[in-house]
This record gives sequence, structure tokens and C-alpha cells, in this order.
Amino acid sequence: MAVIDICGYCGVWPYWPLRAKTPTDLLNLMDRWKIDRIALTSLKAIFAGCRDGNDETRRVIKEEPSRMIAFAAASPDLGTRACEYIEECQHMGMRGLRLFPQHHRFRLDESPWLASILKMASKLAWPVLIPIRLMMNWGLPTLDVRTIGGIAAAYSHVQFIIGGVNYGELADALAVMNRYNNVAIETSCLQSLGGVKLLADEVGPERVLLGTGLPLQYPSAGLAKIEHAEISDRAKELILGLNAERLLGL
Amino acid sequence: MVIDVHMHIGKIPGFGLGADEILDLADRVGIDKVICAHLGALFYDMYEGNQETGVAMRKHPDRFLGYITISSCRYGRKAVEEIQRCYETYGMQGIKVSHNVGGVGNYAIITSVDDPFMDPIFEKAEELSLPVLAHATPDECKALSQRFPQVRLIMAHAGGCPGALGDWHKAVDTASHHSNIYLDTASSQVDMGYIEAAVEAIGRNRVVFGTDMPVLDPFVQLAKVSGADLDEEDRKAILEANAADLFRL
Repeated sequence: MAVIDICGYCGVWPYWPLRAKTPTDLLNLMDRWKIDRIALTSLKAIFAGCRDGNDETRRVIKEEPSRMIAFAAASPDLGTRACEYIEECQHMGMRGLRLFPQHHRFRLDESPWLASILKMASKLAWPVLIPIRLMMNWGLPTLDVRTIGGIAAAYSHVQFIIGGVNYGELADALAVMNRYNNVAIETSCLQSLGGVKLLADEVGPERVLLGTGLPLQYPSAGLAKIEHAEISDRAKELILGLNAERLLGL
Repeated sequence: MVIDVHMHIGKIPGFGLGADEILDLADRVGIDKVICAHLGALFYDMYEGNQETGVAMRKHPDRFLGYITISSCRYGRKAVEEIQRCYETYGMQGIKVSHNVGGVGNYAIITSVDDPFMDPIFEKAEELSLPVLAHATPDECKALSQRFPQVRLIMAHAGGCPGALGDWHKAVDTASHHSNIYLDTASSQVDMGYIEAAVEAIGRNRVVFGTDMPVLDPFVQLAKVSGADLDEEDRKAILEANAADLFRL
């Protein structure tokens, strides 16, 4: 069974220098912590522009395409031809979409351009990961997780993944997931005692995915919460990799 | 041996374990000794909470040590009396204080540990040579450290808390300029490299291991230390020796 991390990043972190700077650094960390594959989006897409950032993502995964999976970022900056651009991304091997409303100044419930993007995601069978925070740092902006419920309802054929939830947002995230079956969750920021077990018990381990936030966060921490969760071995296998395989069509 | 300097017993809405449950959990994780504050003392009634902590210490003398938990800087002389009482009655070896923020999602600090009302508490800490675990910002700790340079001040969460806006860089920098400030690893934050940065800046002897149980997953907290790029001497200091020195274990 391959361990697949659904929440990784590449590129420069504008707030402080990262210890893992290059694709080789990232792969070395993955080897050390036995992560077989990782889904990546470039931080450049978040902080400098989606097109340039997505280009960087594609360059990075070329270092080891068997282990790195590219997720495209989308924002209103993509303009009126955003759909065509997303389809081009798919032709270039990208397999999913990430949205960062709190960083790109758009709302999930008031964005006409988003409707066309999500219809394309549905057509391509791309999962859409929406991190409510990039990493578990109290200083970073967060998105209200409840807003993801709105688009989950409107686009029931899209598989959404909530990212970045910690104990403060867990109840709201569970409410969204209990209401909408097309919503899964990744674990990169979930630090509460019993958090993974609660997710598995409430919504089923089939809807929970391993995320570490590499290279922003310690991968050891991201793995430990799954490995030591009081859930079945089968549930751990689902969370550590099988769910991602299914969602990504691997 | 692994010593956890930042744990809680007692209940508040949404969280709560008793001493027996905390020690069962510590056994699962591989933590040998725990130093606990009381959640009820911190957020509601310090007398009731400290009483419960004292009972737990008597029940588990080899593994469980309690902080004298003070609920608010506004208790002044009464807090000082409570510190003296708990020190004499139970042998508690540390004090826990916290700033208060406005509430979930509101990180504005409404009572500060740097408030002049806190001075009698820190004078007592100095008199009894008790370390203080302070849920406080780097700026609060800096001000306290300057007023009370003889008090060993443990900055809970090392900047990784809402009131400090997660600024561990500032926490490390502050500790590097004040030799009586220690940094506690317990935090929701798992920013890669922050523990290494702390050790690089202030040395291995002023970083202490905590889990913030039962709020946070202790396996995650331990994995931060075990997964950091540290040598074994660093890890031993963080996980055991520094706490043993601070709390006279």
C-alpha cells in the first residue's frame, strides 16, 4: 500500500526560510518518513499568481513524476479563459484543483468565475481541495469552513476536500461533511486528541485523507496522528493512501 | 525518561480528563512523569482545581506533579496565599498563569500576565524559587523577565498560541535575549524547523517538552521532537533533563 500525502507544497515560503527548499529536499523527507507519493501545489500560485505557480508545480513534479502529483491552483486572476486553461493543465498531467479564497480575495458563494471552474473540475473528475488554512499557524488567515458547505451543495458531482481544520473548526467541518457526501477532509492541521478517530467514527475513514503540509510542517507529526489513532488497521490504510488512490484515479 | 511539563487535568467545556486517565494516556505515549495544571482552576475556580490537583499528587506521588494554577492576575493577594498554601500543603513545584483572550476566534488579550497585578505572584515565585509556566506572548514574557530576572519563566507554546499569533520567531528571539526564559514545545503548531531554531538560538537546556494534553494529540507532540533534526543529547535534554532540573525531580 502506498502512503499518499494529499497536502504538500513546493516553492518559497514568504514568511520565513524553509529547511526543505528543493524538490530533492522534499523527496529526501518523503524517503525518510516513508511517504511514497505527494500531491503538490506551488506556493508561488498562492502568493504570486496562479499561472506562474502552476508552471512551477509542473516543473517540480518533473523531477520525480512517479512520486509527485500536481494540483493546479485557480483564482479570478485566470481571467475569462480559466476553463480552457484548467483543461490545458489536465493535458499537462495535473490531477486536481486547489482553491485559496482567503488569499485570493474571492468568496466561495459569490464568484461567477468559480462556477465555470467547478463545472470543469466535475468534467475532469478532479478533486477540489480547499484549505481553510495553509498550515497550522495561528497567525495565518483562515477561511470559514461552513462556506464549503454551500458549494458542496451547489456542485454535488464535485469531490471536495476540506483542508487545514483543527479542533476549533472540527464541529463545523463535521456538520458540512454529514450534510454533503461529496466532502472529504485531510488531516494536516488536526492536532486534537482523538481527532482522527472522531473523523473516522463520524463520517467514515473512507472520507479522511492523510495530509502533512510538507515542507511547511513536520511530516513526523502528520503521520503520527494517523499511525497512533485508535482506529482499525483497515481504516489507517484507507486514510494513509487508499482513499487518495481512489480519488485521484491512481 | 520522558517528562511532560505541560498537561492538564480537570474539565472545561469540550475537554477534560482526570489524573488516572491522563496517566493511562501518558502510558500509551511513553511519558513517565507529568506536570499538570488544572483546567477548572485556570478558567473557573482556582481553589477547587488546585485541591483536585493536590489529591492527584498524593495518589500518584512518583509520576504526577501539579502546578499551582492561578485563574487570573486580578486575584492579587489571594493568589499569593493560594500559592503558599499549595506549596506547603501539597509540595507543588511550579505555578501556571495565563493571559485571557476574548474568545474563540478573537485573539485580543483582555487580561495580561504582564499586568502589574501579577507582580505579587511573581514575587512569591521568586521567594519560593518556583518556575512559572506562562501562557503568554513573547512580549509579555520579555517584560516579566526584565522585572523578575530570577524567576524561571516557561513560555507556554513558544509563541505558538492564538494570543501570540503563532509567532515562534519572536518567541525564540525573546528567549535568546533573556536567559531566564524557557520555551515549551506544546502547541498546535508543527512548523517544520521551529524546534531546531529554538535549540540553535538558545541552546538545548532551555527547551522543554510538553503535550498540552488532553487538548492536543500527545503522539503528534512527541513526534515533533523525535522528528526534528536534533542530536540525542538535545533530545534527552528536551524530553527529560531540563524538566528534571526545573522541577527538582
